[in-house]
Amino acid sequence: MSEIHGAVGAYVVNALDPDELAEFEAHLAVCPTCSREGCGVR
Amino acid sequence: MTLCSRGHEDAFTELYDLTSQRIYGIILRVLRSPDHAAEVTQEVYVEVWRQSARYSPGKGSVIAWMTTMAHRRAVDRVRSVSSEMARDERYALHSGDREIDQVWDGVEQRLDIERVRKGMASLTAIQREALTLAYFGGYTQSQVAQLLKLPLGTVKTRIRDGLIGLRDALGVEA
Repeated sequence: MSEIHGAVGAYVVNALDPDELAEFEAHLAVCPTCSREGCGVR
Repeated sequence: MTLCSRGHEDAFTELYDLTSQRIYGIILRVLRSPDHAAEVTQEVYVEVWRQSARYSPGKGSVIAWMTTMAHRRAVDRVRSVSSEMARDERYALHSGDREIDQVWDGVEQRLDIERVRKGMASLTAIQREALTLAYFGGYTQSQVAQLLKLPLGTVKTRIRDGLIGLRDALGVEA
């Protein structure tokens, strides 16, 4: 599992720094696994 | 919510009456200041009113949508205010599992409280600690890593595993 997938938990609890958030949201847009796990909470 | 999105003020009033205590509670739990919490609560309802057309039932319940928004705004406020004094107070949080458990003991939400408490109890202490600091402390994952003197990857994993554990304990479908 690549490191970016692991950030989904921190994303859900609003614990990403702004640069990490931008990076993760870009990833989220193209990753069905993370979208499902994050469940569209934001 | 559909009525709100069409500009029905009565529907919004009802929504406010039904949810405001809970929303305020979540925000207060993160901010620990009634004044700030009242302000942020107001901001949340302004956002709810403005964004109500963008709420989509497919994404989850109205209350989930609102509580997520409330938590995000509370955390944003913590980070923007972030006075050293308040920070120092919060640093005291990580001084042991017992204190962290007390944070959860104080959570006042009627229906789900017992289930959530049991769910939290089912996590390992290290998962609970990381999740509590991130969710209630409003810390970023890198701040949590600093506080606990752990590598970032470890914290990331604990937060995620903690959430997965909580989800499983609550019997929520993925």
